[in-house]
Amino acid sequence: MSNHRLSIRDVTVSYDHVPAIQNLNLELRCGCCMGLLGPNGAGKSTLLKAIAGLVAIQSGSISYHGHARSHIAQSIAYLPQRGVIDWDFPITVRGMVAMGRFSSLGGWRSFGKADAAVVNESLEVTRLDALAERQINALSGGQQQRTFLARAYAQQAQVWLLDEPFTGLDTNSQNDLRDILRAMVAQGKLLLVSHHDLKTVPELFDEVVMLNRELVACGEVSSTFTSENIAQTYARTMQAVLLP
Amino acid sequence: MNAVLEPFQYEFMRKALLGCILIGFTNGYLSGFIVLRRHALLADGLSHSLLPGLAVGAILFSLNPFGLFVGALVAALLVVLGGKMISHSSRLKDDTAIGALYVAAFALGIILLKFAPVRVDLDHFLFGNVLGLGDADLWITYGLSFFIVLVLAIFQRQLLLAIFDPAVAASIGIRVAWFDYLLIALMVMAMIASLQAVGVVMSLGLLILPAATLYLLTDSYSVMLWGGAFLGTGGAVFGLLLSYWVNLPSGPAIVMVLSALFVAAYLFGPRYGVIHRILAHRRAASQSALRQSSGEGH
Repeated sequence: MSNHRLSIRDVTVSYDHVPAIQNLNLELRCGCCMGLLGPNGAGKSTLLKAIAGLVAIQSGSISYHGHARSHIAQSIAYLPQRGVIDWDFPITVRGMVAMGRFSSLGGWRSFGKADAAVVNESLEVTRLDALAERQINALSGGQQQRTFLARAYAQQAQVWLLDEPFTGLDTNSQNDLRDILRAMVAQGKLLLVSHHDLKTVPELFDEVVMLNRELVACGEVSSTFTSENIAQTYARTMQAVLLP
Repeated sequence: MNAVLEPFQYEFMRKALLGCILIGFTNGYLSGFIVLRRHALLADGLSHSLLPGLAVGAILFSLNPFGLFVGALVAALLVVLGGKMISHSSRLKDDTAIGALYVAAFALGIILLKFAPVRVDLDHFLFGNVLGLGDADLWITYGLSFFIVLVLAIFQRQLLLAIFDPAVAASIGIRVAWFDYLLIALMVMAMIASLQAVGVVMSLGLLILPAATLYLLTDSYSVMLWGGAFLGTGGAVFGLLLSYWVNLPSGPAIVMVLSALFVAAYLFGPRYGVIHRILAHRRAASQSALRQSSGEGH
């Protein structure tokens, strides 16, 4: 099982020659819900995008199960922030979840019974079955976030990269989302979740990655999410604020 | 029934009917992608940029339809690629760069037309003449329509996902930028296919109105895309008949039919129509007022 994990080795990503993440090394195991923490500009979104293949990595490598990223694109689901989607798009919840099947169907293969069954299951596990025929703008924020989860489930991805999914949700919606994420972890999926509300970290995540361009700490919440590590992670920002 | 069939005893009307069906279906289907990708204004710019290519085509090949076709295609691609190049290499954005180039191209086109050995009518370029469709025009329309519909049908899933959620599309290996260029190239081809029949301005109507109408009526992208194809066909054929019955220019008649449907959807659409929205808003307001007054009564 040594390669049953997502390996990030010595990865550097730069925008216009300014490094956003630098020499990052991480070994993330499947069946875990990881919180990705750090101040604004720490490289949280950049790391998710690098794993999803949306930004080029300057050096280093990313592999899953020992395979290079380009070979396992289908196993990785990227769940963007809610704001980037045009929610007026003429599509129902079921239609959007069905888009999760596109990667395995390609252009030609017809959408068959097996695909419909996967979509139904995705709607059930995310408790969206009653809302399946609604246009996506007629959903609450939490329901929209669950639609992203359902689409990733329909893609049958093993690694889920979630960009700030809890932002803007009320407590009930947060709890619903957390419960579904727990169920996904129980199925052996690896969830990497960028998050900025430090108060809710212990109740939401098993482990944390603390990032500020470089890796500050990584491990179980109880041993890693310490005031010392938090201070170190956010220190650069504090310095920038305090020192002119 | 006779009123419907009678026009088609003439060959020019039969050719016009075939042209309308092909153009209506192709542009109507493509219109869904254009509206979802919010490319309606880009389409407007591109339509004007065809003119210098047509003028050069007319100077070099006289009025040979294939020469005009190649000229128009090259001119439009130069404007798009030139616009993209300017936006990449300066602080200007796409819309400004392409906007600047297409007005220049249009002006250049009008000047170049003065040098064409044959008289080219600007009205003809803008508004077309479906009743003057020749065999070569029909072959070009037929070939382009078939190609456009085939490409859209093959890549429908990739195009939709690239439009709806570009980041997720890219993460599963879809080349989003490539599909964006493909859509622009298909738009240019559709305009060229419609050029002789309805002209570029009217072609824009067929590339925007069918999907804009259905966008106000449906929550299903399939209905919007394929419904757009049938709405475009129906609108083009009915507009053609109308132009025959009432003796109107055919291109504007087609666009007016589609515009009337668009206005009807905007006003009377059962869910997204403006009248429904006003009524729903009033109902909600009066209900909340009722609730408040009954609350005060307690």
